[in-house]
Amino acid sequence: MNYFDILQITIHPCPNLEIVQKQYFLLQQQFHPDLQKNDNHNISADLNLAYQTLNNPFLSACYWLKLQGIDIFSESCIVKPTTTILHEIFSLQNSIQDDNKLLIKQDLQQKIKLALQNILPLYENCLTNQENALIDFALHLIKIQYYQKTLQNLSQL
Amino acid sequence: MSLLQINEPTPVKNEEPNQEIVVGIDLGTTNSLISAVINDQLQIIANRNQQSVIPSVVHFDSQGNLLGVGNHIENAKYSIASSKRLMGKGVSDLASINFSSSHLVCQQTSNENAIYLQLGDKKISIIEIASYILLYLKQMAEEQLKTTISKAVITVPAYFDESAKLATKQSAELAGLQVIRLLNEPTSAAFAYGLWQEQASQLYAIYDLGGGTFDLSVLKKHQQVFQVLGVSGNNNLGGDDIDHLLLKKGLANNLVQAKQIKEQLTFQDVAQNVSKTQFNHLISDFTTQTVDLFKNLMNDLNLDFSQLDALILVGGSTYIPFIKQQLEKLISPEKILQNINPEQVVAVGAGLQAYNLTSSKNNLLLDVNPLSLGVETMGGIVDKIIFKNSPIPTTKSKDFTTYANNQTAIKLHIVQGEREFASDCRSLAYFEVKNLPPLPAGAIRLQLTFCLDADGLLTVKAYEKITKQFLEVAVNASFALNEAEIKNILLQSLQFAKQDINNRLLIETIISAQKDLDIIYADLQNSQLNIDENLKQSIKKQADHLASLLQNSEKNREQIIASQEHLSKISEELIVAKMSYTISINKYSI
Repeated sequence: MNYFDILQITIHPCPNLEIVQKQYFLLQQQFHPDLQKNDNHNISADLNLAYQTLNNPFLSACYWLKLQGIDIFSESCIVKPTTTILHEIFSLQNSIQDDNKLLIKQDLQQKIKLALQNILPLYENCLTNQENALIDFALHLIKIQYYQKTLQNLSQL
Repeated sequence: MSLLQINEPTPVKNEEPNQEIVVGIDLGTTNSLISAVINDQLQIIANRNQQSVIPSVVHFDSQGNLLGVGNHIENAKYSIASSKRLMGKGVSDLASINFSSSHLVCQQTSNENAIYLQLGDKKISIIEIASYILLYLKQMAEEQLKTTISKAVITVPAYFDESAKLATKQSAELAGLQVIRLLNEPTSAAFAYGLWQEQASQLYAIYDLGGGTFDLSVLKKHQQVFQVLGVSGNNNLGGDDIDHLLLKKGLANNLVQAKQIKEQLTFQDVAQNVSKTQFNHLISDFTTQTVDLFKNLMNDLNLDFSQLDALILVGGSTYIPFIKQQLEKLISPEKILQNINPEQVVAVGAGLQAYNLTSSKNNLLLDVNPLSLGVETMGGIVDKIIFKNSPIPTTKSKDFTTYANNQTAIKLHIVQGEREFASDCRSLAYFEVKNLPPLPAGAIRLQLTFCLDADGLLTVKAYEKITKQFLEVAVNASFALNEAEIKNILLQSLQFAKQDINNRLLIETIISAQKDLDIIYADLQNSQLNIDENLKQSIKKQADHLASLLQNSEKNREQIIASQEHLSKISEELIVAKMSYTISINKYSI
């Protein structure tokens, strides 16, 4: 069973977060060990894992892509970041100075927000069988992943 | 005695008979409380002196014999306070903890990292100290509720690590209590608060600054579901540390005075030559630490302070005005709530959850794991398997492999914490998978599965796919008492246990006598029973005698039994009358 099946929702890279939440609560009320005295520990744990992924717009898109055969978190992922992406990230990281950290942070947060909104149109391209649509979809997620890593490093500095 | 109990032909009230009462316990650094839901009402249980907030202090005489728990005892030689700060700690942790007791000697035993207190000739572990407090609370509740108690929900700081949680569970076992749930303290407070709120959906945070620990928690309430979104805190940050600061800066001569100064400054500008400005300056670093933790947690959860519907302050230290002022910079003052008794709210939540878990109430509390759990890999770097703030229960697996050719064993080190290097995290367990087939590096696939149950307790399973080896590791940290030690403690506390048994027998006698009295008084009131007036008077006299024995502060079990038996004898006629009345009623109703 995949995470969408576990939460009993339609397979989609951008699931409606309200529905994810609603289904999660509804099903936990049925299967959480506190309410269900028989041993349904595993169902509750599965629900937790599914919720953690599908409640996050980036992770749910990555998970959908994994179901299509491309796992961007795997070392042997068939899609590798393009030089354009690497160059963008490289120059971004190099531009970080003590005095502009906050600015870059805000800029990155904005970039991530926009990129997340662009997942849906890229998915629609996949539906109309456009050439390389799935690869573009993967590259887009890889770019977001790099943004997030940079943001994380920035917060730790 | 067995009094004939005859059911009236009226429908029996459909109450759950003999439903065991499960208590909630707030085992605090400074004070402890016990609560339970009785007849649908939550009660904070008090002892015979009407005291419900019991100091978490255990008193011993010069030989190290237990004298009592709670208030100051005149002839106590050793009084151990704030022992919770040492729960699950090893000697190596001591440097980072403010813990002081004038008669305390901490010593390292030869083979272990565990901490013991040397009291007279006796060595007493921290787990035992906690068990004495729990036993006191348990007996107090048994006496007040006139029933035996064997199950409890016990609260722990959200930031208690695996060792401290296990230590708490062991303490409960020693006290004869089965822990049906370890509940995070801020979650408990939030649960209590949420159940009081009318609104169906709310997002709120708990800021819990107690005597020894600081806890934060953010919760979302949606109808009957309470979802913990995240917790944070510091296990070694609390009001006690402010006392230590005052002492260190020479502003107080001892910890008792320091505490006084701190408390007085809540209401006045100068206390014992320390000004409020001085005090605020002194605690500003301390306060900033808590505020930063709060900001980081909100950031981690992608939440803004303006989204919070309420911020609930819990713990005695939140009465300090300066701390409140700093929080008002984050969230508007009218959303900061302190109207619920911060001393009791954790115990209230524990009692409610105890009831919730054992009755047909359908409130659901979804909690999270407060600290990341992982494995040490090459170079001492931690590979996190379960991240902090993951909802529990949860099960997660990850594959590991060998790094050298023909490597026949893999040694695994399980750690807890957020730091990158294993040496900076808390070590939970080591184990080894042996007898692997000699294969090139990377060919072995070892699947590690981490399981966290709803209490947040961890088990680790390892499965090696080629040799089909299966290993299960119960994570018990180096501090924990081994079987032999537990047996030893049980033997030592036999005397205590005897008292425990006597108490139990007395309670059972009281309950049985009270039951008889209730029936007999009701029958005496029943004018339709045909009994001789003189007999009625003598039964009443005997019943009153028994009732007075039950009211007596020094209850004697033998006296109660004798009086109860006498009452039973002289009430025989009453029973016969009742029986014939019941039969006559049944006749008419046919």
